[in-house]
Amino acid sequence: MSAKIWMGFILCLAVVLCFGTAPAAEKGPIHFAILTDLTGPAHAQVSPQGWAVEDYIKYLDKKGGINGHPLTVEVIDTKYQLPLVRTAYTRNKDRKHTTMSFDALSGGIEAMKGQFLIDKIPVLMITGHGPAVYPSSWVFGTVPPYDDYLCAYADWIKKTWKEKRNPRLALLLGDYASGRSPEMAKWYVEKIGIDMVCIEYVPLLPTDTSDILIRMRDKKPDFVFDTLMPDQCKVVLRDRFKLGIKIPQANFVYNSDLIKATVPLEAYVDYMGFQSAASWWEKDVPGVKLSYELYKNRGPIPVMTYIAAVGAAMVWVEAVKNALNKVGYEKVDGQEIYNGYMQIKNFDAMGIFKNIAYSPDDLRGNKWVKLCIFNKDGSISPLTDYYEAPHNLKLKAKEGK
Amino acid sequence: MRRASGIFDTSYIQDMTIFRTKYYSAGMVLLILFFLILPFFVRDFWLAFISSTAVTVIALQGLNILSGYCGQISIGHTAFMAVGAYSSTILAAQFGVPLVLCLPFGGLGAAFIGLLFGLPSLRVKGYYLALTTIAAQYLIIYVIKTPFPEVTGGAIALNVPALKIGNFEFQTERHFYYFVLVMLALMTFFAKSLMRGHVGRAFVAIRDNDIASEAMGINLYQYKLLAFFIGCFYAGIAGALWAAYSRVISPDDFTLMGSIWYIGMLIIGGVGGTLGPFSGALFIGALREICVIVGPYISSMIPQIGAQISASLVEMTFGITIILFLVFEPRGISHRWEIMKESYRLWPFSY
Repeated sequence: MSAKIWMGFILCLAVVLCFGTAPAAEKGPIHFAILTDLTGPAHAQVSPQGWAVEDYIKYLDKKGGINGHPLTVEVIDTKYQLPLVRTAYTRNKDRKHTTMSFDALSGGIEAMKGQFLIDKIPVLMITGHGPAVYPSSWVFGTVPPYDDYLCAYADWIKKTWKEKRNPRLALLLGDYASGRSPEMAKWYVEKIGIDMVCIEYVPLLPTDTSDILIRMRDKKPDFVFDTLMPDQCKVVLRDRFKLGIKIPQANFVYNSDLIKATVPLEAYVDYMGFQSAASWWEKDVPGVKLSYELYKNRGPIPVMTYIAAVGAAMVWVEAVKNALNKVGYEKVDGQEIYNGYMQIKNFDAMGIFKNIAYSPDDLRGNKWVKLCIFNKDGSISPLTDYYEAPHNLKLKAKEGK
Repeated sequence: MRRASGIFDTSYIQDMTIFRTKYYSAGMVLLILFFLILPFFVRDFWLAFISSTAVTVIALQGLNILSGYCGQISIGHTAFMAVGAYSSTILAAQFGVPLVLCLPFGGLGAAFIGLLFGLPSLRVKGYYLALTTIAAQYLIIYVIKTPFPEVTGGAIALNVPALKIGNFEFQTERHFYYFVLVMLALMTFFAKSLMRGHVGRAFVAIRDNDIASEAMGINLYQYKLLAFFIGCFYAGIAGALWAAYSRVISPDDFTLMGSIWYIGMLIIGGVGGTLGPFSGALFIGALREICVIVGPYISSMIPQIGAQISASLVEMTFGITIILFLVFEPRGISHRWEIMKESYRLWPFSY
């Protein structure tokens, strides 16, 4: 054979080897299990978060998964019931290449926290319950805990207060574990010179809150902080409007966008909310744009909790990706995913968060909040830039309170 | 007591024997063996399911004594569980008493509080009594949440010390599975024995016709309060066990909805027999788990509908199943089981 034929043969062989038809080794799947309340009393706030993670993981799978590994997702409805949380967790904990997020009742995640540590299973928490992330265990947050929001609100009040007397603050708390968790930050509020004039509790599914609001009004607070979920928030805002109460009031997360269709716009005057993630009116943020795209089958505008949860899903994927990059598919386990979370520093989830970073003594992930306000025309605008929310439980432990 | 054909009781001892024939005894031995070796063959999920169902059965046995046998309606059963859970935990956490010794105190705490809320039963009955027990649900949870948060943990949560016997700590699902099954066996045996004696007969008499039973010399006050005491003792033990199992308790675990579900489980299982609580708790527990497992499968098979719609669909199926069950078998699963046993014994004859 001539040299030309040999050269041609070698070239063809090279082409076949590079772009040949031999199938690539199939990569193993990674399973994402989302434990959340799709039904039950907290579903209005929580279920959009479950949808967001489901939508993002499916989207990522269509885009080729993580490092070529296909992704499967299972959304498990835990119905705000601890026994279901426990069995859903035990059903998934021994499955290989399975990672879990937890977005159900706060008492539940606190109850399971010790078990995660024993089993060495890192769990992503999409809501923000303080005792779940401090003292540090294997629960990773993506939003500040609710008690930290109260500290942040107190800082803002102190900064903007002009009168000589102490400002007076009232709390309107949801009557359940997460709703009442800001009580843990009462010491901080008093320490920085704010008088806590009353604490009122709002039932999980109220029909009328006039008596609660009248009692609160009689204490003459200058500011109100609430931890109301959408089903409570709409009743409180309606009654507040009916009674003519115009005290500046801030919600722990900006959930008024979930309920604005049900309450007249005038009811929102002086109503504020905390943002710890970008929201639907910030359409130029890439993560928000992606959220709009993911949400299009569900409705025209994604609610804020949905967008924050898309960001949380990105954090989750980043931790898994870090673990895969470090030890490879076969060796990925709970410990490696834990290490994967710890590797996350300065991660902004396509602009949804200001900065996500984990360290062994701070598993909140996100400590940045900004306050925004509902305008008379129905638009929402920021009152502050992002600022750091004090880590209440850590400070409290440090002070020996 | 119905016996299989050819088995005759010729003495009171034989009449009162629980395992009357060698087949019953052999069946029981096999059942015990089955539950003893089960943890070596199944995953933790099944152990967690059995443990939480067993705790529910203990609570239901108490409700069965109170409502099923004695006819005193209680819609505050989870509140009495909360008393047991919190009193045992506080005793263990604040006073350093080993948790295993606190379990009976949890039961007693709930029993005495139950006695207090049982007092209205001396004057009212039916719907009115149901309302007073709803008051118990609200009052007890309020006391846990509000006045003494430094003791009870308030609305947030209360950490429960580890359950230990000597130096042995109950850490894994398997450990707790064995512990709770032993407790379940003891509590069921006690319930069964109690109901076969004069106390049980007095309870049934009060349920069927309280005026007639009083005319026959049954002290209504004493027995109604005794029913509350025993029923709430069971609830307290179940609550204390639940606390030991979950290691953290919060008022969110003990809701009015939970109490209503307990009544539902009892009705579905069948009131007035020790088998009813088992059947009801198992049926509802299994149906819930099936719904939770089936939801994601539906959403993976029909991705267009997503997880939310499939969760709602299974929730509806859950409700419809219960409605159908109540329509076609209002006397509960245990009654259906009895019919099946009778048919088996009489086969091939139709009567």
